[in-house]
Amino acid sequence: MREVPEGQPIPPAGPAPAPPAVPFSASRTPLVQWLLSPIALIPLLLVAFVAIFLLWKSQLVWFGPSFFGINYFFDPTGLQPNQFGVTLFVVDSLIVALPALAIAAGLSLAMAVSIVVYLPPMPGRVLTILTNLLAGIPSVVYGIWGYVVLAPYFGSTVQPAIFGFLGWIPGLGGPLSPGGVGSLLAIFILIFMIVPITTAVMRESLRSVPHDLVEAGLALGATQWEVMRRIRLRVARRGLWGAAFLGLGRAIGESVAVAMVIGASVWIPPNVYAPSTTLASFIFYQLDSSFYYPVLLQALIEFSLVLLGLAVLLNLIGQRASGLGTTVVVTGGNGP
Amino acid sequence: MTAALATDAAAVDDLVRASAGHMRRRLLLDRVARYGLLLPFVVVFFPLIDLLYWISETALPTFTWATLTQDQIGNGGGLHAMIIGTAVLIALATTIATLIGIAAGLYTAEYAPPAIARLGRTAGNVLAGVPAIVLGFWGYFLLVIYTGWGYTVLGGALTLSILMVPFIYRTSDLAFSAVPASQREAALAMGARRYQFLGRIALPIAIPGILTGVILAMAIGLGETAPLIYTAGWANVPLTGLFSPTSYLTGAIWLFYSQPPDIGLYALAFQAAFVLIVMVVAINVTLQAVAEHYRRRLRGLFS
Amino acid sequence: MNGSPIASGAPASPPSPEPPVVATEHLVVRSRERVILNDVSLAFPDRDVTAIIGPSGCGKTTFIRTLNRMTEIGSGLMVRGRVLYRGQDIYARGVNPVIVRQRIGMVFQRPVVFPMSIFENVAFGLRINRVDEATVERTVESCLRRAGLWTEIGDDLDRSGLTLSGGQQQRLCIARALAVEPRVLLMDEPTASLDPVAAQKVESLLFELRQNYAVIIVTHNLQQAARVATRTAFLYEGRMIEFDETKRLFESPREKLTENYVTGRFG
Repeated sequence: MREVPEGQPIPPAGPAPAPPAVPFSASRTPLVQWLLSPIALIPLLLVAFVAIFLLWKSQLVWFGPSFFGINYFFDPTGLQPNQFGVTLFVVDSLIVALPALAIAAGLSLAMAVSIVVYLPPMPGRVLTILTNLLAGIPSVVYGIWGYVVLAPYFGSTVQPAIFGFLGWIPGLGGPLSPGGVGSLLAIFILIFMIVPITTAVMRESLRSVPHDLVEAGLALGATQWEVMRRIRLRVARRGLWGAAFLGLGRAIGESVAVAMVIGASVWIPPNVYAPSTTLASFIFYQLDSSFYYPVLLQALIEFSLVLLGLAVLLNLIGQRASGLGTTVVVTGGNGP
Repeated sequence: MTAALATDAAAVDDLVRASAGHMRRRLLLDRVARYGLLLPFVVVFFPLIDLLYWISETALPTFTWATLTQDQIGNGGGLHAMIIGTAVLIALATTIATLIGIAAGLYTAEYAPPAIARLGRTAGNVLAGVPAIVLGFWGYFLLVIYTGWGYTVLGGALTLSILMVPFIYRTSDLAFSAVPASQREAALAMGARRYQFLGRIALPIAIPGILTGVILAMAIGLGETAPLIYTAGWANVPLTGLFSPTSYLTGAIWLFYSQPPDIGLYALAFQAAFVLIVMVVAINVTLQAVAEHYRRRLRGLFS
Repeated sequence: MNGSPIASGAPASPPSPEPPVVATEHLVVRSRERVILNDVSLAFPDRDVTAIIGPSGCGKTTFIRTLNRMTEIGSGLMVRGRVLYRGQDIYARGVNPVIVRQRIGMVFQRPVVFPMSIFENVAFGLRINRVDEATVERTVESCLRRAGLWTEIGDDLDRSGLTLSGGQQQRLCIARALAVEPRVLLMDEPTASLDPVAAQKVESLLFELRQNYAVIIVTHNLQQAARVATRTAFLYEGRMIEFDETKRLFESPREKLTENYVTGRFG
């Protein structure tokens, strides 16, 4: 603050200082700021760099003859023609990711509703922190837990139980996979990895429903549940779908944990118990051998591009719908 | 007048006994929702508790001081090299990612033209969704093959940092954007330069938010396996420099989990998982405390 | 000060032909920091309009919200004393707020239209009560008529309610509140966010509503209170200062504070 001597008029302002308008770059943007703007675009440049580099590397085979087919045939000796149909892997990925997402989304919606609508602030906050803790557990730890503890249990108890009760549903019929590894176990493991992000985004979406609407509903004598179903869900619909897409992107992209429990059979499995594979897990455990077989390597590069494209697409849809980014997981636990 | 207030029997019946059957069903449904929706917490957290219990139970009986101080030899040994590897990888990656993330976040919040800022924010969220295996694959080609380095700590850390950048970037952006306009006006009114304002006032205000992003990024970086296997390689002895390959805890789990239970490597996988979880929790608690310390100094700034 | 209603224990009410439908007894509402309402006892007659006036921050909005237990929603306010609906304490054990709010409806300061069609907005309260479709259609029409909206929008009920003008939205909210068949209608500054023409329409609606409902309206607009209300209560700093027939309260108030307020010396 400038000292103004007592009794003297405040000196007339000199050349007007830059207006302390809130965003500095409100009206005119200096050239320098445009030139420096790549700093803000580092993430974009990184994504583009990864994509372009993979594209460049993939030029040799470039979506070979049956790339979009459902065939997978690989002959390490190279005597027979190799075929890598990406469709097979995308289908396998969806067989694992969609059920995992459906269950995780259901659980998340229930938890989000509980935290936003029913629970008092303090337990709500504790449960939020605990949900975030799920996100902090390394995926490979889920993997080892699934492989060592859950797999035998799934083989001996869970699979027969599900088969017994729901075996008439297509996809849940036999034969069972005695060791327990397979799509079902991968689905189970994935649920824990999806739940933190879908819960966080759903929680914030439900929270962003204007309080006015909720009050007006309650003032009409509706119960919290009725307001939830008829108003909150309707208003937050886009955000909830967005959460689902973000979760699906997460499920499709997970490689290590899935690779540990899915059993790595390259085929379209006859049911959810059977060993299977996913795009991401296939890339992960085939990288090793691909170093010796250039054709396989090229196929994997192309698979990576497809995986990248899928993940980016699902993420963009999810963000556009929810208006929230992945970072909501970060801020969710500490918000008011 | 008071007589008129004598309880109206019809009103009591109306309000207290909820006469209509449908009304009773509505209230019941609400109550079922209130308590029934707590069930998913059990469904999700019970396995979590089981997981943590089981990891400790398997790891601890054979856990000794040597587990931490010995290198892995043959079918046994300890996690010494892997702990050092993980620590160096995460330290390097966090440093790189934090520098890039804060710079990009600060620029986006303070300087970037609106269109660029919007694009940057979207791209940040997209990068956060790029599968780790894709980044690992890319890192293998660029940092292992193309540069001719081979498997190196540096390559692993760089790949890891790309994975971590978007989280620090987006939280820094949010934190700088949330600095109250009044603070800015007050600082500029005193004749402070913009960089002085940013350094002395905005940064301390934004630190808790940035730290939250760093915590999340570190948790994610610590837990990654896929991007490291094909960039940092593997080595049984501690790393000797930035350009030597290294081992790390998540790799130990991936490599040893399918070993027969009766040899030492199997136990090592669980001990690695245990140490990893302890590290994640320790970093979380420490940095949360630091963030809380800064937040306390700011109490009253945000209403 | 003699005979001040604050001092007397019984709920204050000027002579009225009808028994009170809602009354408060020694109502005290406090937040963690301060007392918002201090010992307010008032009685509201059936089939009539009662206004509550007072300067901003006097607690009138909090008061009206305690009358149908809206204070409970995430506000952390503590309510002491009794609020009686036809003699039954609505805060008593075993009374469910959901039922209370069906009997005692509320209209807010800013119109809150649900993001649905006009028809579904009005039908909201009926749908949750599983009313059959024919009755829903009949009730929606009659409520829109009573809210004076039928002639304006009766042929276009599938439009989103959000496309209506502010005044129409507010009357839609009133129609929606009527559809639940309340006995009492609470209105929290229902015209404050409307332009004068729209406000006038809502006001004239009040004359219709008084035939069938007990209407309690909070307003900072003294002229409005004088126009629509048979009785008026004056609240100041959380205390009920004076409650009387509107004409008397405005023309010959007993309390000095009331006089100062209604003559515009403060507030």
